[in-house]
Amino acid sequence: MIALLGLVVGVVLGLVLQPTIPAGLQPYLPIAVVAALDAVFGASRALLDGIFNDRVFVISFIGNVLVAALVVFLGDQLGVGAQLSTGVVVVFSIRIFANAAAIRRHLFHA
Amino acid sequence: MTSPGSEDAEDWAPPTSQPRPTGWAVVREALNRRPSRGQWIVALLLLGLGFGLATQVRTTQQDTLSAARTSDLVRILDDLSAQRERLSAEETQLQTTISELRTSADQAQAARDASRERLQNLRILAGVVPVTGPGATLTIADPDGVLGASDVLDAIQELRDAGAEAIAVDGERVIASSAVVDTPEGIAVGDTVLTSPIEIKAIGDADTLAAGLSFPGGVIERVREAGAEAIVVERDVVDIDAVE
Repeated sequence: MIALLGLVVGVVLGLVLQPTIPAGLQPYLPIAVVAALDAVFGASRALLDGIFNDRVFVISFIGNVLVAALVVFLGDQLGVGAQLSTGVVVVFSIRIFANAAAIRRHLFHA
Repeated sequence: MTSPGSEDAEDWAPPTSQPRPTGWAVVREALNRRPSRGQWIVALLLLGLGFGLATQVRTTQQDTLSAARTSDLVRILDDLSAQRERLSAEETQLQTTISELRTSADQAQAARDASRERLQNLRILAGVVPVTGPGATLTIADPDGVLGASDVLDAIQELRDAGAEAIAVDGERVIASSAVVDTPEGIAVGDTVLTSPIEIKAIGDADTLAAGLSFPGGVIERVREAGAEAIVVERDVVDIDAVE
């Protein structure tokens, strides 16, 4: 419950404060958001599987974000930032779909 | 325990025979769970996610250029440059068309002006419009009727040679087809029978007209030899109102 509240409060804060993203971070924020979304879907599935663990979630969340940012950063340094960003987004999208399918089967048995 | 993110299996294993809480029960239980320290940390992370999500969405809606990559910006710049070149070429083409149209309009205007001038000249020559301008008048007093049509014709021809644009004899306009004939009543120009004194008006260069009539052996001298009197007067303004 408190986790959902945290999500809502975060969205509201982002809308109200209207922060400006530093130019250096601009390419990484969308990738980080997608990576974090993947972690959240994975955690939801784990919860329904009965194997959810706070510590694992925290590590996977932070790890996902950091690795995604690192991959994009490397891509930018190598001159293939746009392609790697697309690749990262595609991979995370596939995982999100897979996890969403599992969650759907748990909740709706379909 | 496996990391949630690493569970890539597409197919979810069917429930085992061992009794398990249903999915909704798990969700309800999770929502009602008392906040532990781990829950607070999860909430903090999700707060960060929500914050980043909202910020990114707002940035994307606000300004697409500042969030774009260098390569995308270069592509956009290339597109705009190509578009500008295309528009600039089109502008040049349109300017050319404009100047072409202007030139042809000018030419048409010049042609119209020339036609109008020519029309006016032809009207004067054809004698269908009244004419006013510098010229000369020749008055021939012939009370005894010693002159014939050939004398009047000579005078008219001399005036024409001297560049007369319009000639009238006793109020009868003389044009290319006018006839000068001897009739029982006297000399006739067109339908008008001349009576003494005969007044011939001519429009043109006054000096040239007068000189054309009064040179030795010219019209005036021959008229005087025949026994009539002739006077030529140069005038600044001669009105020929008669029209054919």
